[in-house]
Amino acid sequence: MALEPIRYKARVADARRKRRYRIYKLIFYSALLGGWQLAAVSGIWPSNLFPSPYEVGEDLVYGATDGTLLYGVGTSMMRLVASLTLAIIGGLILGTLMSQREAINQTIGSLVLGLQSIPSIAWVPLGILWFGLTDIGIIFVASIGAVFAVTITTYTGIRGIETRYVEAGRCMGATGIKLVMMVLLPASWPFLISGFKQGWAYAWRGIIGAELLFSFLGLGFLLNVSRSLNDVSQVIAVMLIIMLIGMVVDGMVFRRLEESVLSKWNPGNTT
Amino acid sequence: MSKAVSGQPARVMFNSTTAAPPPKMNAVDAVDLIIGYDVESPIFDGLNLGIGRGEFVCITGPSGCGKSTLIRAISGLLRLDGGSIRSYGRSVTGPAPTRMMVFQEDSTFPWLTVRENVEFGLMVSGMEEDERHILSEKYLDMVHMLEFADRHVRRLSVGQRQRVSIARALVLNPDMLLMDEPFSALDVKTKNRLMLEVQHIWQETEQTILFVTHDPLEAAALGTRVIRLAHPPDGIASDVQNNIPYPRSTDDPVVVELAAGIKRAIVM
Repeated sequence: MALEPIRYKARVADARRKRRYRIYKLIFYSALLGGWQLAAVSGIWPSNLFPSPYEVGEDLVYGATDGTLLYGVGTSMMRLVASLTLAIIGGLILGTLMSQREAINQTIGSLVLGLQSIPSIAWVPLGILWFGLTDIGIIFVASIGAVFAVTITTYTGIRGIETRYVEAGRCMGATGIKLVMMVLLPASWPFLISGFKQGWAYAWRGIIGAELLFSFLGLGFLLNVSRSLNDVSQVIAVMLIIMLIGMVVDGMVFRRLEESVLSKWNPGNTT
Repeated sequence: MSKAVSGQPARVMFNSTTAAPPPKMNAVDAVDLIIGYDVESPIFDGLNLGIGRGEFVCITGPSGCGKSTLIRAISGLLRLDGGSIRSYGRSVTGPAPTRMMVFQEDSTFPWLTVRENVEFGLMVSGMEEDERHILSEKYLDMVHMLEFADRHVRRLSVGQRQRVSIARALVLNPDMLLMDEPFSALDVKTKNRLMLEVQHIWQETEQTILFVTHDPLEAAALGTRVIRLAHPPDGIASDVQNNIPYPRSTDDPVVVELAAGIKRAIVM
């Protein structure tokens, strides 16, 4: 009880600080929009090259109502889910194998490190040649760009598990796939989440890039169409959508996941 | 109650011989054990040890004498460089739920609740949920953790986590319980309470227990037999039967006397 007022004060100060930063954010974005609008109406650059935020907003509304933007978002998200799923499954399997068998780590592991350094966009030619201008081609490019990041964090996560957890699991009879599913993966879950987050970032970049080059539906394709129509305000509108999706997935899905996982997985005070 | 049977406080005998050839169905038969992290100076060079069913054996000795090495070898977590270990006639080739280990450091799974931790081994073996629940409740009750069954272990104290570890081991009804300095991270009060509870559990379950501790007092208070290891690679220095009646506490003068005897022998 005696400690309560202090804790209360700290909480109030915390809330006040948060509110202050929210106001800063509001001011910053208002100023950005205002500055942009001013620059656009000042006539320094021709309006077809430097549209005002109002025009971009109009394009957003128009794209949303006639369905092209929504369809683009839907297509890209569908590809994202597919390629991230593939990358996560592949990365978990590869990373686990590498962590358990030194021979696999030395052979496949070294190849993974090499492949990881290839930008996903460089897989586009192979994707087109192997799968044609199809969804599968784009999913191939995005998932192969993401799978190695997931692989490496899975490997690192499992290698970092406290030995006593593994030994306890083995004593209780967990071997092989049971050890993996019931001890290794749960014990390295915080790492795995950060791997999934990296994987998602690679996959999302890969998809937009591949869609630009494949020119086959999706947000990247819309960027390309707008460019060929010289429609700068629509290019910016699509870019805003891409950024927005990124912020939503990062901030809502992954940050929440990370926070919940860290509070749940931390073994707490063990001294 | 520490008043002794027939005026003799405890039958204490120090004999530094290697044990007689062990009978067939011992809980542990270790024969000609060779273990060395370093080939030049092995920890054990031909150690022999037999532990009978139902014995409560405490292993003590100076740090670096190989107490933990020995118990880890018996659990199957550690590979032998020579010799063999058999448990009830079966050769020990790796860890198994028949020889459950309670570790020095907390090794409960922080991502699971207390109940899920205790049921882990049962789940591995594929037991149905109803059966698991019955067993886990029984052993959680035995270690007085039933009221915390649905709590996450990270919200428990270290002592409570060791209780969960003990329940998690007992629930699998192992052939023997291996405890590797399970109380060394606990405060004195918790440790004393758990020591009494382990004695109680040993009497109730008739488990064979192998208990490693650096503290001769702890060894004297717990075991029916106290084995002292010498500096490597000399193996067993003394092997003492301890018939002081249970329950024993570390304040017990007879226990203290026995511990002093063991300790003196360590110094020698």
